[in-house]
Amino acid sequence: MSELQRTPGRAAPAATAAARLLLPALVVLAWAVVLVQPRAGPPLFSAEAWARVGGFVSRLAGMGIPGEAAFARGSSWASIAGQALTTLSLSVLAAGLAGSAALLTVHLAARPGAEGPPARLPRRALGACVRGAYVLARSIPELVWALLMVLVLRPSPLAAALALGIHNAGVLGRLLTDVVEDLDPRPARALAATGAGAAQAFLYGALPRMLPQVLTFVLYRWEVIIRTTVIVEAVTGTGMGSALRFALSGREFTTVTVVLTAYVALVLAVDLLSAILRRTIRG
Amino acid sequence: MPERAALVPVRPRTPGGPTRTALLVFGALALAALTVDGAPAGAGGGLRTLGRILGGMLTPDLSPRYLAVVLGDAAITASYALAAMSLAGTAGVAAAVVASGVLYDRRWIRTLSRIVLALVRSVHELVWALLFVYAAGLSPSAGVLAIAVPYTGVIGRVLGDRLRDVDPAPVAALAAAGASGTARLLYGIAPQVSADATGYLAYRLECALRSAAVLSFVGLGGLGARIELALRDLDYGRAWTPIYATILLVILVDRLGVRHRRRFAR
Amino acid sequence: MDPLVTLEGVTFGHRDAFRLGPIDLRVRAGERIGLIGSSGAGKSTLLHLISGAGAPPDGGTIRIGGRSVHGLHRAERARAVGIVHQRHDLVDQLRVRHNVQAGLLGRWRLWRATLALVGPFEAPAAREALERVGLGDRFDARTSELSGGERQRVAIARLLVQDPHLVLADEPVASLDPVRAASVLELLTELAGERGRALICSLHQPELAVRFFDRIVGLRDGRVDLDAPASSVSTADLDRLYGPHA
Repeated sequence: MSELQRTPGRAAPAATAAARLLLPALVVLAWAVVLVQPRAGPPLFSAEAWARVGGFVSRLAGMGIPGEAAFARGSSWASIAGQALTTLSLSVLAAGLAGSAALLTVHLAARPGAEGPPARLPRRALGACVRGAYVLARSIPELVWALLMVLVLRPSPLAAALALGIHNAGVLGRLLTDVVEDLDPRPARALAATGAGAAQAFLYGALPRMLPQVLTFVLYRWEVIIRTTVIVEAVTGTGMGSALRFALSGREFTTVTVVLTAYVALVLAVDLLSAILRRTIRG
Repeated sequence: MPERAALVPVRPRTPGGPTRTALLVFGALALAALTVDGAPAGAGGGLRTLGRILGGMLTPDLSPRYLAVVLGDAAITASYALAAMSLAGTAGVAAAVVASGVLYDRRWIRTLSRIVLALVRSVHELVWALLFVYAAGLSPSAGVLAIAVPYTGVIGRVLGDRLRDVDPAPVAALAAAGASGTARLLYGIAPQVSADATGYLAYRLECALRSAAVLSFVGLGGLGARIELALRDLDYGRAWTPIYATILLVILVDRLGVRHRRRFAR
Repeated sequence: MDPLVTLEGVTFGHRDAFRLGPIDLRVRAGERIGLIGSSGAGKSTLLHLISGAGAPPDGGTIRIGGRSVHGLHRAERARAVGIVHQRHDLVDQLRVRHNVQAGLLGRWRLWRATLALVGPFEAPAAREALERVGLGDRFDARTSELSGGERQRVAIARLLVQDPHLVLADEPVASLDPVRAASVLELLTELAGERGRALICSLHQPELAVRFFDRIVGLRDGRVDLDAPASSVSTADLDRLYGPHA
């Protein structure tokens, strides 16, 4: 009696069967497209490629290059520490800009609840604009924003901060919109009934309840931002990112090792800090 | 009455958890703002360039030949993203099962896997790509791996945490009914996380799209390369077409993910 | 006839904060025992020990069918004893039929378990069991949509499918209203009494115990204070059992 038999009657409709095949088919198609792309160099899984990787790694470790390895020199570490600090403050600034921008605009973006009075047309249009701005900001990768910023401002930390800030404002705006819409609307509505304006009702009635979650999201996002800051810096010419870029293009492999080590250390430190801060929010 | 409506100073209390963190955060922010050196707008190409960029935004190059080119780029970018996620999704789920210890719980295995995942995901995919390119030359598989490796780290970490936070009571009941570890995973643990997990993987696919677009800067085909080409020629009209394509692609995946998520949560 | 379940000198202590035992008990096949006692008397602990799922007793032995329950392999133990709790036994995210089928996981190989989960396959035993508990039409329903009483019936259906010799129930009706509680207990005692299964069910309402079970065992401060047929339990016995503690 413990055998299996086919479920009677209910044959899976053709549509769901087709849908179940769609994803694997798309994956196969994707791989097909990828593998026919033009290649400049040996295929990845060939002996030659592995030999090159081996050579690269050994050069990173300082073997087979003339002169002293960069990581043996104290000065390299001192200078990378300075650049790491720049990168860190850039990431904090970007996170703060993104968080503030999102927080300031989210009460416009959130759609009013189903039970309350329907919003008037100008308010709906404004909400749609803000949400559209979020989409624009977050769909354009940080690197593209950085390229645009560099064209407008000169290559500078401000350009990097703005690029990261704008992109992440879109991400946080989207996340926070969900938070606001899921919030119980009654306290804010009660405040509105006592005469508070819409902004005040949000400030007193919604923001305090959202604050822990907002901070948690910002801290989670900071972990992503610190990783991308290095990339953006390669374009805007500051901090560790540009150090990495120059070291790679100048074939200074041991410097690359120094920068990479500092990069990983910085990212892990930020992850740790973010976890600690998130725990104090709950505590 | 006016006196009753006036504000009266309250005895200050030590701020609680969220407020304290907020103060810390804003303090750090102020510090950061002071140490970062900036330049006012207009010091670069300035407002004129800004104007041109905005102009390009309103008049993207929509000629059929260029559109076809951009469409091809979009297909390439989407393929890179999907291929990378096919790797990262499977490897990430496997890593999550190992790192959470739900099947085979040994302290050193869990710690080791968590360390590996943390190291691997701390490096941005573009840095991985640069390393791969410098190490092994330019190849499409390198691009896929550059995205898949750090994504495996992230997915393994997030899903691993979800697997650990599962409600243990139904799983214990299954054990009492005689289910083995793998059966408990299938019937008791996986169903509890599957809705969340699918939503998260869909979100990761959206991120992979953006990563793939950016990755094409390194020299692999795709939307990013097209954007960079246009910006190098300062042709903003041609730059915005692939940018719009990126946006549309991201929105598409976002919408599909939302619909799929709703079907699961219902 | 040899008893199905024997407990001899069983003791168990939570770091001296609470001591259970020594307990001696014999249960014959087909017996239905109502386990009563005030909160903290040790009912849950005792059932948990007998189920063999957790730590073994500090002293004494628990045997089912002559074999020590803690020495059994997981699949053997599933055939020997099954347990249903007050709640949280079912996986809400699965359909009812998967939750019932889970009773067969001790017997199924992994590929069959997977097939039953993801493919359009079902176990006839599961369908039958659901019919027996009166929920045949809920075969495909989502478990999250069921009421408390219906959930307990599904848990009982899973137990039917698992088909152990000894059925344990830890306060299965504590969170149900009196009408539902009565109907679930009726179902439990009727099904458990079939095919020579034994049943030990703990309750915190002695009236229900006396009404539905043949034999009453009362715990007080971790020891057996009462062990008598239901018909001969008096109010004096209950007062002693639930009265102020030493």
